Amino acid sequence: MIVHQILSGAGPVDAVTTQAVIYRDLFGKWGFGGEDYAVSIDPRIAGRVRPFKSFDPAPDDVLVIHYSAYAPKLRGVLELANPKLLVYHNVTPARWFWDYEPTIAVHCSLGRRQLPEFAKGVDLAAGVSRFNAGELAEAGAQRTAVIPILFTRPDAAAVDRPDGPPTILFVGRLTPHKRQDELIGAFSLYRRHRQADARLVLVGEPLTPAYAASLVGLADRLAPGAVTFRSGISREELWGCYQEASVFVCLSEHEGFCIPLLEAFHFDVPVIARPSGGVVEVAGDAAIVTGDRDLALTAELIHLVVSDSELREELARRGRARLGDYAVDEVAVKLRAAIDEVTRAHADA
Amino acid sequence: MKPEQAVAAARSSLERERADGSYSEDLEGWRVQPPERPSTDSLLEWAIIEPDMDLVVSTRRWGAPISAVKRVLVHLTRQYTAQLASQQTRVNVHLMGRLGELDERLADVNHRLGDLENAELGRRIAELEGAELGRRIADLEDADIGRGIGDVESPGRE
Repeated sequence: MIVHQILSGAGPVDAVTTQAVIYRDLFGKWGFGGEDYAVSIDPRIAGRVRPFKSFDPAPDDVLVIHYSAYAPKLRGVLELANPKLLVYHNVTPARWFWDYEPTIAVHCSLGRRQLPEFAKGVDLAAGVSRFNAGELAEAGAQRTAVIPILFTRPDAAAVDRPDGPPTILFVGRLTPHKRQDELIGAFSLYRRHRQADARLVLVGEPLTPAYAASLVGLADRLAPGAVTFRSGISREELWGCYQEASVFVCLSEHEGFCIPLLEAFHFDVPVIARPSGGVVEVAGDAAIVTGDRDLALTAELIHLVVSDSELREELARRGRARLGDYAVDEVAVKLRAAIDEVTRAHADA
Repeated sequence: MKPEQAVAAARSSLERERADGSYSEDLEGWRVQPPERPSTDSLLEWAIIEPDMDLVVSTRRWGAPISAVKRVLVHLTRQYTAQLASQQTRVNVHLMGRLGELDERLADVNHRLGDLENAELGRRIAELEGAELGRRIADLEDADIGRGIGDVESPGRE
């Protein structure tokens, strides 16, 4: 069988490209041929992904379309008679970007408006979470499935936390919907009322230099010298951040999946999170999830997790168990079933 | 403690802390505030694309010949750039028109909502006033009946 993958953009650290690369490795193990194509390609990954303009599939080739952004050039793919599987990685609602980066807001808005066209134009529309699959159904997809993110375990292990003040961690792009500003507020309350020497580490690439400067300004005002911003770090450095963290706190308002939760589970870091988007199903019972917007409550939860070893151990145990549901072998079965369903549905049609 | 008990425990602890005067900060200004949006007047002004030819200059020392070359280039490409500016202006002007319409409709909806809320408020006040009036009448009636009963029970009291 020949299976081609189509992406709007491909880059070396991009989450969607990473998934496509893992898919390709699996396809190779299953004896599938095919190539991966993208409209825009970062030169650092040019060897693995081919330019979309050279895309010319045979009629029976299966097409896996990864959808995560406005992709006008991929529309033509929908007109092809090939069996098609859509993998939806989610598009952030535009409202989070209008005030900060209108161009991105326009792209997000178009990306969500264009989604029904893709959802209806394929044989099977799959979300990487039930939340995403729900959006596909709302967009008019006839058949939906869930193919969770294929999570490859970090090549570093959990270690005993070094002695020292507690470290609160969040990993995710510095964007308005990830609410690093609220986390800085909650952290500041925690420092004032519970642990004066606590540290906060925020890892992620900023949306814009101006937005990063706003967050840095807020941190300097509320918790001077206690917040560290890190971007452009290597995998090894990222794993180091998890190994040093006492608790991972995610106050994000929109998440299609939230891979950092699984990374935190891998490193036995207890998680406190807001129930947004795919967070609830990814976290399962392995995180403390609350929709209460009182930052003082978040501060008290951080204190509770840091000071209660029994609670921390139970969360770590459940986190490790949770990772089992996202093991590559488990998810690979779902991916294979989706491809089989697409070819079967196409043959029946 | 089990994770399921954590939120309730944190809430209880927070209540105790607050009762002792902790966590009393005013959190106003504790979030990143979005930058101020351009006003509708500014947007209207920007909608018409009119490049300022006076700005086509070289700021280098002895830049006069460079300015002259730039202006010649602008002149030579004016057919293309004028088309570009007119297309962009057309889009902008139509968008501003739509925005104006939406603004008016929103104002109208808000106005009607205000009317409805006022009408609802008036109705509720009337209901309350009616209920209050009914209660007072009932009180008066009860008082009259009581006095009447009292009169009957002790006819010789006066």
